[in-house]
Amino acid sequence: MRTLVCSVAIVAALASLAGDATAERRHRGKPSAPVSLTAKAERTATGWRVVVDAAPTRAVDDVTIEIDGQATRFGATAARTARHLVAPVAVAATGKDVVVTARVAGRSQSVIVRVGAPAPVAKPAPVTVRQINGVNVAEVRQ
Amino acid sequence: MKAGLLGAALVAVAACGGSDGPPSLRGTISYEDRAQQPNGRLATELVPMPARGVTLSLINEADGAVLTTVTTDDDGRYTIEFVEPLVEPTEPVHLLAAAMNMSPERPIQVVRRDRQVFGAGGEAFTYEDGTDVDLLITEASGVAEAFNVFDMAVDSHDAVTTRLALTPTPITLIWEKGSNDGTYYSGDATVHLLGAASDDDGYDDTVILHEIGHFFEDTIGRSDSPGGGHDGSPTDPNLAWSEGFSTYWAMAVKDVPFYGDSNSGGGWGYNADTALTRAPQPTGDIGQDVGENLTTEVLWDLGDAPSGDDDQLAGDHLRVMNVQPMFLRTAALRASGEPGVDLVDFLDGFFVADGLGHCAAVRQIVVTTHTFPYDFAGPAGACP
Repeated sequence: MRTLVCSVAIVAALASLAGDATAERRHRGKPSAPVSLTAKAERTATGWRVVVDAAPTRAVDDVTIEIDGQATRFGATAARTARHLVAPVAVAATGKDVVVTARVAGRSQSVIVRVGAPAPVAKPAPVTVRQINGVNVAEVRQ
Repeated sequence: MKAGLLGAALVAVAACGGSDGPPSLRGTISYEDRAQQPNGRLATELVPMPARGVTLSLINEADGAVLTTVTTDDDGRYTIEFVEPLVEPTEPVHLLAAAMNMSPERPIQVVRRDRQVFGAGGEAFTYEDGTDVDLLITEASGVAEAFNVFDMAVDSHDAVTTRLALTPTPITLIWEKGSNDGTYYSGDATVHLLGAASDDDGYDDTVILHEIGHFFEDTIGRSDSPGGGHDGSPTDPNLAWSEGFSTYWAMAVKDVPFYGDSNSGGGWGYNADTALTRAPQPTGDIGQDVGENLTTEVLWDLGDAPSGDDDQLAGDHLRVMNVQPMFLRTAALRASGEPGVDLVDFLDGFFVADGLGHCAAVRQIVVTTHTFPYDFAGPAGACP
């Protein structure tokens, strides 16, 4: 089995804010879900599957993992104990973005896993920079 | 004209043409918004909202010259009067709305990651006196969310100006479609907001206002938060206070006890009036670790009022907000509990500002309902 063609493991965003005390002081983020969520795509003999691990940061009554809209509910889960879920996904030749969500303690976190062909690169809208009252304004028109 | 496109300038010639005053151009600037739902998801419907207080310029189509610049009113309306030396344009022109305001009351700019202010340009038109030209900033343009971010900053600054009678400090908010930079306040009067496909905060009003709440702490009040993650678990009292207050700020500005955060999987919502978070150790130390939601819920109960209220205190959000500039900003905090600003210091300040007349009601909220062992022995004196 070949592993991991086009997806990445994604860790809870706030974990990336770890650093020295000064940097932490400067970065006051939004409320997050008490869960560390990773997801990746794997090619199988017959197609593709998405592999998810969701580990709550504290003991919780319930962990729910959704892959591409299909929810699987786990029961009470100890802190830092990962719930593991694997689901096959049907993918057209053009590829697909699969949404993976973990719901824990009334909050949720989502990541997107690209499965199959890479996503087409979106063409940025043309921008004209104008000086308005001495400030650079990036004007978008359609 | 293709509906839903940025620059869908709707030109409607007034029936009579002309007007009594100087020749002028008028109209309304609006942006497409998605409302937050109680479960944190965003509405599927796009609703036009007035672009309040944005900078609007009239641009010469041929050479890009900026002919004049005005500011929209609170209904998104603008008026450009052609009075010497400004002359009526004879060549095609277009409108450019910029997500910035340079007035002392609303010093706000919403910028891209390259620090250029977001601008939305309309279609070219030929000016006629008495003509209304509107501009709808569409979601399809990719910049509607920037104007929603701007509008939330207007809400917050207006609360500072009209409710607290203070002059707001200039704020910069960075949002951009596709940005994975994170959502956080960086301590330099700058708010950063996610624009990622998995988590885009451009329409998440309460997330935007939560981060502006941190800005409020820094510029109007005080924060000793060490920063870092917060997921509702009991945590450092300084962090729990700062995060709980910022969520409360979002609720108080909107006057709704709701916080929501959408993501690609839907999102989540939280109601501070119906949720109940208790202190982990009801008989423990007042410097114990608590969850941020405990702070938010106590503040909301102290600030809300009947009807439909679930506590004994006929509150007033102004009294709660005012503790930041009136006490926490300048007071020497007592050496009790956790060093630095936390819920204990806020409650001390609340009694200093409000007197001891509501001790029983505050005790019911703080101690009975939320089981937080506040000692009611702050600088205002001991509660009976």
